[in-house]
Amino acid sequence: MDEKELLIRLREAFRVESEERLAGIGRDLTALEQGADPEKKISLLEQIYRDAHSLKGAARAVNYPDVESVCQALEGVLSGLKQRRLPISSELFDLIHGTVEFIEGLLADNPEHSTKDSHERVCHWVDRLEAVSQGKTVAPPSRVVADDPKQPLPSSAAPSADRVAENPPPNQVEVESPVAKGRADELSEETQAGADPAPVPQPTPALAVAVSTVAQKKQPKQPPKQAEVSRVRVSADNLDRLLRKAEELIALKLAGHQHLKQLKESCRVFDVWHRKWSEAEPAWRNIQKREGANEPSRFGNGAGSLTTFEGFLAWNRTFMKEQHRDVRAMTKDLDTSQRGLDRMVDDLLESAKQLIMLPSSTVLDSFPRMVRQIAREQEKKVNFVVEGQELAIDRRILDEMKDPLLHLLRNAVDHGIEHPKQREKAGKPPEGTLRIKVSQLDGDKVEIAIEDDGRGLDLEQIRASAQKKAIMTASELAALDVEQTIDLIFHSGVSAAPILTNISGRGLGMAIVRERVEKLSGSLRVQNRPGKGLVFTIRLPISLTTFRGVIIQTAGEKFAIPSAQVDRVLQVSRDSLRMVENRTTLSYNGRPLAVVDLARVLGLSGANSQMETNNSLRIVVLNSGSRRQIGFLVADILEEQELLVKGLGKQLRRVKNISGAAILGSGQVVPVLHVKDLMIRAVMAPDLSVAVSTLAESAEQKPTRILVVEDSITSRMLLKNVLEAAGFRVTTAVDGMEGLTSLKTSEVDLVISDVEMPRMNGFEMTAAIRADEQLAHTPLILMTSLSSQEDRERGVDAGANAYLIKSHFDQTILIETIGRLL
Amino acid sequence: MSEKGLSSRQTPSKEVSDLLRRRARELAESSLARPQAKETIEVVVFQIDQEQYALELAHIQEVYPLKDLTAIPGVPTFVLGVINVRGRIVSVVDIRQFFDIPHQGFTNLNRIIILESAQMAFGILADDIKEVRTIRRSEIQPALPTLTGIREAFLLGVGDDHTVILDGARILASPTLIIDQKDT
Repeated sequence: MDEKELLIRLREAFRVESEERLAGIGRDLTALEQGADPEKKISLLEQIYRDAHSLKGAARAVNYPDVESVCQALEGVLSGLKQRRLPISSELFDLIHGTVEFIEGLLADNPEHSTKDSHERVCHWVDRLEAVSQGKTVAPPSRVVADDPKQPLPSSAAPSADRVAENPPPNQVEVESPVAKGRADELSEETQAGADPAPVPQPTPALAVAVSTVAQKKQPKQPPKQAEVSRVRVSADNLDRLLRKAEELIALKLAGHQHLKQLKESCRVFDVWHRKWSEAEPAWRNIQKREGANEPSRFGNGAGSLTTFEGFLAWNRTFMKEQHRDVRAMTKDLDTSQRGLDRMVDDLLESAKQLIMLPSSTVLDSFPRMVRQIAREQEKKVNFVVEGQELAIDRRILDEMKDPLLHLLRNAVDHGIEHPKQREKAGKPPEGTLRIKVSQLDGDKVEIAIEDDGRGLDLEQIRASAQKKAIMTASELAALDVEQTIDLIFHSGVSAAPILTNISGRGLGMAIVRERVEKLSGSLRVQNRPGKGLVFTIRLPISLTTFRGVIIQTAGEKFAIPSAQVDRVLQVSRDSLRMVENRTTLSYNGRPLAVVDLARVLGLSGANSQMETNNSLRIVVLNSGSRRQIGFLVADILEEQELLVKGLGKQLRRVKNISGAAILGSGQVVPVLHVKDLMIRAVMAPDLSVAVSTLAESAEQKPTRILVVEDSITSRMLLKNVLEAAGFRVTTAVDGMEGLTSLKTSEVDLVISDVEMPRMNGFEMTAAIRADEQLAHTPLILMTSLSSQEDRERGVDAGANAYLIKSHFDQTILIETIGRLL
Repeated sequence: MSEKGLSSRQTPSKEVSDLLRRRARELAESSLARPQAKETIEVVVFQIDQEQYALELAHIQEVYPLKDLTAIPGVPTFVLGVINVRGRIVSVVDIRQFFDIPHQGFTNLNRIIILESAQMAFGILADDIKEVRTIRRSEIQPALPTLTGIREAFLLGVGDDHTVILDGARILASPTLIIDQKDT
């Protein structure tokens, strides 16, 4: 590796490290600022200092002089704090927070290309820090307290009883508006108190009681610092690759099961042989006895004698029995090793999944500083509570959720929580509470709740905005219920805020928040408590690989639907469908539920056969996060299972109605339906609804059902397309065995079959069909590449009604032939 | 390419790294810059229907047997569906449909030639893989206008045995093959 390559790699590592260290500084700083017990404060300050120091060293190692010099200057300030040389003030906190952001900015703009301009900014910043660390701009604490009696007073040293009694939520982080400046002052005293108790002036109890903020909530333990645990840094790409490889082993595991099954089948073949032999043996003995007693001369002696043949039979019997034993032993061995393999693959996959699980703190830690900042800018008081940082979640989900959560939190501070004065007027405490709570639901789901006690959503405002953007007409809007109105905030362009601030409009809209959540097959719920606050509840799978889906079938194809978006599956009688305003509906939970045919929404040919034949209909009720539901008619609901979900590959970037592909346990690929797309298409196209009247019509003219038996997938597809285009209903089978099963279990008017197929070929199947009383009269066309006269005769002998040669394939001849036979 | 399992941390053997470097160079060559490129190209020759086609080896990730194809509703007909290649989803294209070449009788399409670049990956369905062959650029004739209808843009030309030599780089870079159905 040359030096340049090394530097690139080091810088990559530095980028990760710096993000962590800066987030750590931000987190500790916020904790420090809000007040903790003296010992805690010292250790927090120490931690911040260490982080800054390490960052400086790392920046030097990767040759980022700008970052290094800012860190150096920051270190100076922090060391001043540590040595209690510097007074603590809220300005100082601002400066340190600002420095963290400044460094982040430097790193974001490619520090290796430092421009003259950026260098100047760095010099300026360094000068500022240095000035502060020399005590030039910040006044000593005693003066601040003395000069500004309005400021809240230090409280930590003598907590009031009621504050201590409060049971604070775990891992609480507070954010303050600039009004509460005194907090900072108390730090220096605390620090002194911890290190050197003698000279510290204790605040009087009377002053302490007067403190109005919740500063004194005793800080429960911080998320455990894990620096002590032995760790290695591994690139996320490598981990993802590892997980992918582990997932690929599932396919091998399943293939092993398949082989085992085949081997067991072979064992049974021996059993058949054994039975046949046992049946034939007495007969043979009889012949032996009779022929042996009466006319021994007829068989004679020597090479052609009965004795020789008898000898062969005896050998044959022993030989087959030995083979049987060997195969049985092999099966047993394979069974044992397969079990071992299964366990190891499952374990490996589980461990690989664990590897890419990260505590949610990796995302949550960046929020307190952001919330603090917005609150400060808007002069609001916000108590920001974070719960559940320790819960481990799939890294890919965390990455995807960071921006949406940020958006929701921003909105909550910006639009939700009111100014202290307004809050007091409304009879609320001046300090708003904003809570983000991550908790695990049963098994494989997490719930993230973002709750504020602000003003809640103003429905009138939403309606006005929707009308202004011409999303709906006034009369349509008037018809909406509360839930539907709230749902409008997820439309792009609709705003719940009367005025645009510099915060709203930046970043993501609510539409994208929902889009992201749904992409992760999660759901999003809004609870509005007008005047009292707003709660967003997001439910997500804990890991991307463990995703549950319902497998359904329609128009002969299988599809998966994320379980999170399946409200319910129903089986209803056809009579229960009603036409309401030209739409087919079903009464569901006392309300009319629109019902559409999934096959038609997807544009698949061949509607569901159950529509004609069956009086009971299967319906999947889907929701797209909101309360709006639509019933989708399907042919069959197969099962709910764990799915491995993948993208559709580089070529299929975005396909309407399909969000990805799921790999079933058998290795089979099944498209995953994009529920939101389906809902939109179902709503936009009214003709998609199943017209009850046409049901009756179609029941009268049953289309001809053709079974195509063909092992080549392309030929199968081609035939299916040609036949469906000609108006036939087509089912398929991959070999004679499956074809025969299909014939016995469903109604078929005509069979088209290939000849050369595994397990049971076309000739054998034809013979089997002709031998079956029920099926004997089904017209059958054999289609093959075999074109010899002999084959043709063999086909006709077996009982085929027509024999077509593939190389001379002509679809009109095929259609004509079918016409003649029906 | 990550499928190759060559993590950047390993030091690949000289042979492998040379090969990779060569491939990278070939991939980097734009088809426009070809006149100055080297004399010969390595191609995979395959058959669809009665026609013989060839694609440059450099663009081919692997050849995979067609086992189970899952149709995706709503995509253009030239996309036949998707397959599972060891846990990875790859879309499969019928180039006859893409090039508007009429079907001629039944074929035994059972091989998928997977093409891949940084931005694109898909499989081409073929009847049979014939051989890997080295051909001289000078042997490649410009495509005749009467030729089966393949747009000239996707062709390198025709070999002396009427093998149609496709331009893998152009096909991989072509936006017409990408399906991106934006929201309505």
